[in-house]
Amino acid sequence: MLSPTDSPRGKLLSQYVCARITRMDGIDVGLFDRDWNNTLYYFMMNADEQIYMRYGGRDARSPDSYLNLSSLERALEKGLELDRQYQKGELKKADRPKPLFPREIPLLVERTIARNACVECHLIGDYLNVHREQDGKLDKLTHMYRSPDIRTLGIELDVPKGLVVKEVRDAAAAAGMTPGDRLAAINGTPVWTFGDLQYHYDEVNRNAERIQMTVDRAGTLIDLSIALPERWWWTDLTFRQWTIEPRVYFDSVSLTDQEKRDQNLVERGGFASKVRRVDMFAEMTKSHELRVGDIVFGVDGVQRDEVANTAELFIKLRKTAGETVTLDVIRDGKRLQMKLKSYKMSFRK
Amino acid sequence: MRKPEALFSTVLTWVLLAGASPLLAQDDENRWLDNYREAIQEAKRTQKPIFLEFRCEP
Repeated sequence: MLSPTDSPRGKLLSQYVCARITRMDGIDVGLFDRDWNNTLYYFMMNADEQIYMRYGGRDARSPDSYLNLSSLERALEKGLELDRQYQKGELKKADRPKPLFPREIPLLVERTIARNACVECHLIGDYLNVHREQDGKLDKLTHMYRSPDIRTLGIELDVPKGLVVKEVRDAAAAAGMTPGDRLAAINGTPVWTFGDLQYHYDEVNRNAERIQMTVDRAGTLIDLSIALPERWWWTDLTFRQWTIEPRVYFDSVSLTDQEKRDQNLVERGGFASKVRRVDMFAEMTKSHELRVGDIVFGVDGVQRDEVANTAELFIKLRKTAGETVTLDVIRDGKRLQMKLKSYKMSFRK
Repeated sequence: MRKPEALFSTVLTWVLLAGASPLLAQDDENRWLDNYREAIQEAKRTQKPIFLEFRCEP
């Protein structure tokens, strides 16, 4: 028994109406928008459907990197406090997002609801993106690289303590963040949990150069301006189940300018990169015949990109899943071309 | 499709969540509703806030 009613967590939970939803059929997914590749996610809210906070969120390392019973208790306490403020009229009512129900997503209706299959969260995310792709509205930096990782900014949280910072380096350190700070707001939006932080960090325009992070330092709120590093939005997509990402089954590391000069390759903006790992699925799916050590310097004759710094990122961003491309490769000092067939995952029930 | 990859990922996810995250375990004492509208009505009746969990079925 993990939460008996006489335990601290049980006492907190007993002050809530608890509901567990496993099918999304009748749920307003516009109101409960989130990164749909989370297996587990919570909202603290009220009967007016005002959301006080989110609890959940994950990263590429693990589904439960940020799930912790201590931080959950803190969130439950905060949720009760916010509810008291709301009932007294001290909390501003938020505008309700535009409603969106699963029955309004045509491919979800056709392939899932009509078959009486379970409307799972990741299906909602995938079909929304498939429709965006069909309508020419898919912004891969925003919709595919969802939930940027705060560790890219140099922020390590003390997870049991919620948004208390444990270690700081890189951009966050340069902005003045220190261990012990509690993250309090991002671009002016208050955040109480990692779920809040990740959701609102995800809302940052991918072309932004800075964000404002407000920290609570010993009771004083301090605004910090953090310079976003290049490709701050990049995350490892491997854990995600969807069809919009061209799977390429290799990893490569960008060549240095000197390495590019040595190979007589495009320097500025050139995405030439050296293969450091080939996934076993490359052979299984006959996707390509790249080897570790190969340098990929062109894709369909293109050698530079304003965003991508490696060949595989170029393919993921600029090509559609299932597309076959021609790679320009240097192997053992010799230039050659080879085909790569990207893979489109199909995981639906 | 990367079936072995997808299967492995699914199994790993559930092993991690079921084993490492006690959040998923049933709470024997507190009552959990499984209907959203019912939760809203219950919150109105009791004037309590709502703790809403979304999770995939194994």
